[in-house]
Amino acid sequence: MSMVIPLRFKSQYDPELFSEGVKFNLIRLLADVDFKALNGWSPKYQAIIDTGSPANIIPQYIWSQSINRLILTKKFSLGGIGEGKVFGYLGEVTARVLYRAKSTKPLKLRAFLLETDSVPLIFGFEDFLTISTLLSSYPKNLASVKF
Amino acid sequence: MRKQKSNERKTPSRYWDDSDWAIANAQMLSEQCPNQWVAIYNKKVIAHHKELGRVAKQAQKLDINDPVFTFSERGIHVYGYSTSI
Repeated sequence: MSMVIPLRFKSQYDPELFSEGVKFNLIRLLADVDFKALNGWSPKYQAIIDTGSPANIIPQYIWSQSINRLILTKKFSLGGIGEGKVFGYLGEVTARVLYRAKSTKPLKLRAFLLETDSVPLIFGFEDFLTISTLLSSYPKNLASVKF
Repeated sequence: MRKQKSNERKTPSRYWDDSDWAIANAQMLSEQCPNQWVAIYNKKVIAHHKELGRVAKQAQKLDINDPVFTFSERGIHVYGYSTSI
């Protein structure tokens, strides 16, 4: 049986552009998620659902408090646009996506387990969007992910 | 079929109200806590810092259940990855 979890848009404007007379919306698609931990499930976190990210990216505090498995012990540096880089390991965690009374079954996700804590939690394609159907209509304020 | 008993605690509706509040107040949060993790409880910011671990520990000291943890971005961030050694 499939499960559809509503997602939500977060919208704000860029203050620097606004001060130049341009209102430019910064929009994110968010999901509330938690992770399997030794004593049950972790606290919930708002994750960015990012179709521009090929991988799931998990800050250190979250994976260190969760049940995780390293797939490779080799450390990788991850970079995006520009010169900023972070370091992490390819590993596996178990997570759920939730909204009010709805929850997915536990999902085993490969992810980059970062050495830093000062980045957002990102769910991208491999093992997340590759196993689900994403619906996103900003004009209708309607978004969901179906597993 | 006998229903299996679950030990899992139900998420309070207050959590979802706080989660909605964090989204509705993203602009204010980005101005007050730019590019930081933020913990929210009862529609109030109870902790914020660039490191999530610090925020979580501050929230734990308050002995509360189910705060919302969210990353408050300011400016345009494009996340991606390209691996290299």
